[in-house]
Amino acid sequence: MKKLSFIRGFLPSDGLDFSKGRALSQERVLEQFSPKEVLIPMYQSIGTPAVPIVRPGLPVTIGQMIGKPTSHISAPVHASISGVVTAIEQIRLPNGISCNAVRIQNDLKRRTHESVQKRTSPEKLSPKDLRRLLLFSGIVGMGGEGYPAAAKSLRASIAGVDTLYVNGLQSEPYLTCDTHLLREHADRVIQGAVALGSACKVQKIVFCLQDKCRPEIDTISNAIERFRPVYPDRELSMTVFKARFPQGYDKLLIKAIYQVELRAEQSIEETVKAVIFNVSTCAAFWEKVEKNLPCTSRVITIAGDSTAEHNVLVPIGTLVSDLLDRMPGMRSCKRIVMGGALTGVAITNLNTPILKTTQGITLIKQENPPKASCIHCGSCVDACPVGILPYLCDRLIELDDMDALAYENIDTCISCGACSYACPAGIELSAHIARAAHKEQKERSGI
Amino acid sequence: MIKKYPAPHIHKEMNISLIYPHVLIALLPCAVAAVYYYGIRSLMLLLLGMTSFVFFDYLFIRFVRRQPYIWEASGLVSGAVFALILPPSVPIWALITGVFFASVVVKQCFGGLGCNLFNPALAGRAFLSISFPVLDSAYTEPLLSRGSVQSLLYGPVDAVSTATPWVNQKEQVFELLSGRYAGAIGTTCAVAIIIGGIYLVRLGILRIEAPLSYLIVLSLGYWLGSAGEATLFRMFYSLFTGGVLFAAVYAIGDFSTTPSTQSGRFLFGAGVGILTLLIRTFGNANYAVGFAVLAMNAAAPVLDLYIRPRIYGTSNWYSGKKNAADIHPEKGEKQV
Repeated sequence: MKKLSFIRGFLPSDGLDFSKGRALSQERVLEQFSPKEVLIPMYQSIGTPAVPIVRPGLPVTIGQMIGKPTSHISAPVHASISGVVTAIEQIRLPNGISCNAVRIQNDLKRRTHESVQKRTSPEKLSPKDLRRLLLFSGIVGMGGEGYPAAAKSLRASIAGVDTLYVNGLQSEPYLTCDTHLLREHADRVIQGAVALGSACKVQKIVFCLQDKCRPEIDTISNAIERFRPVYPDRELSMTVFKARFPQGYDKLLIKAIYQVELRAEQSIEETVKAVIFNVSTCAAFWEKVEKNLPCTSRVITIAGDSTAEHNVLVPIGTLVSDLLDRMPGMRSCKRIVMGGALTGVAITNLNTPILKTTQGITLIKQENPPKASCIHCGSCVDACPVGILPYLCDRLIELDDMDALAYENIDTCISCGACSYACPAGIELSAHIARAAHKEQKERSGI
Repeated sequence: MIKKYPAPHIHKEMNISLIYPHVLIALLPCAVAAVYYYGIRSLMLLLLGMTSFVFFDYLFIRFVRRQPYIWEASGLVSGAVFALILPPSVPIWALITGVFFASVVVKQCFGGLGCNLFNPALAGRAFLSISFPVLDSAYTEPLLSRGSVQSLLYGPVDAVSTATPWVNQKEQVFELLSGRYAGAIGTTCAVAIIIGGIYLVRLGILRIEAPLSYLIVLSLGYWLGSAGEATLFRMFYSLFTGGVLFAAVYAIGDFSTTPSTQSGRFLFGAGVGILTLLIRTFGNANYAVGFAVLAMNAAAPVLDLYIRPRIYGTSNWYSGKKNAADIHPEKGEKQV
């Protein structure tokens, strides 16, 4: 089978393969986690934050809406456990944004909202109904992108896309939650993808998998065979990609598939007529279609270089400290990272809630390498998937030479962290470039 | 304790504190060959070169730049490479002078580790070669007076520089591989250099592009220069003498003084090959490789400036990279 890929970046042999060639975790049982209380932030997607519509003292049930969307690019927020609202407070998310959050005390009864009930014939829903469901489900891009799925599907159907790609390329080390979904819940993923396809008016659905996930490839190809008769009007297929970091990024995915590069102002839907949804997003949407259950929980991976790897089903808003209490190896780790080891944010406050976009928690024991001066080795240049010269940009940032920096295209940077990973001198290239790009963008929009 | 760091949180294992010790290990076979052929004097020169290089580095950073000295092993590598490319009978004062030039003028005055324009060891050797040309005629036969204490100070006593007559081609090949002929201390033994090179390539420290294009250009050049009549042995001979292999592994694969992009390194190696051919054919053949590398070192920043990877989503002069408009032409035109 032909394997698709882009150039540069890292092949797993470069040390980014955390499993060191061993098989990935084959954990079958998914542990359902039930915390004592949750803290649900109102700002979980790109766009405007939701507005809380509950007040302290009010009882809530699973699936009840507690935050109302405020604009087209905004997602509603639902209670993820049943219990009593105890407070509405200001919190600071790991990405530095402050927002309101609803604290709910768990009554451990797992009562669901009356609207949550099994639908009798989910296949018969029309595209319009599906888009309505998507709008009220609160589903956002669960691969970390955080774009509200309803807005994305609307944009896709307006642009008239013809293909839906299901992104199962989880290239970050340690994270396996998407892989887990593909293996254990292939039916849900495929049905969810078909439903999303109807919402976007797409006939062709393509599943994207990495070549190192052998069992998942088998599972998905079997499941596709099984579902072909069920959906005769859909073209279901699968493509296999070379495992390479950073593979999961939309722009690089499009480059690998179409050999086309998107400029900053071009959107995927408009230019190549394709729309990309994450595996977790598809699975979450099937929950909504089948049981009318909105996005209230997600699978996250708890892993790291000092612990075993676990996939856990957690309610949105679970506090990290609750989860980590039972993790072995937590004491010896130096950093707790929300997200993957290469792009995640290290947190200091353990009372941070799990968001809809959190793919996992990574516990890192490894220390940063000793800082040294740049030896001009070019490792960062070989690593950069978008072709900027990170060592030169870092030098210019250090010199504060903004005029020269304007020619270095730092706004192309996707902040994948490959350059910092490769740097033998331990220079934080990725962080410096991201900061400078942010500053530049701010200045440009200010003028 | 949990601390805050920017992403990413994991790093490649090969960092600077490991790279230079690995290069030193890769130099070990050459050093062993040097000690085997030229005795304890070569060992003394080697140690003296390494320690004095680090000493001058330390003095400059501590007392001229007035910064705290941070230990790094790159000084040891440069000192060792410098000692290994000297003739075996080099006087000690010349070694120290060369190290001083290499460390202070070539490396530290340009900003220290990673900022030097020229390869310190080769530049120091070139300095000696120009200032004291008499040194270049002092290559001695190996395996003579290896153990004599007297030779420590004054060099091998019975210094004769005559080419030994080779009996047949087979013996010649053996001598070229083993390095049993008059030459610089550590650059003659091809087997040792190849072992070191393979070690570095396996660890990912030596990038293969520049050395590869260098050797290819050099052998092609010989073949063309002889109008296609060169025997395999002649090409072999040209690659294995005059420090070509040594330079390919330890100078052309250097980090600071070569371009940072892959295609840049290819061009760099090819440039060194062409210059080596020119200097060997029309100029002073004695130090052709060294001068060629230094000349291309000066060109490396320019190569860096013009040879760069294509930015995602743009096109440059050598790649007619397609835009999204190629797939859906009617849509693309609207946007433009």
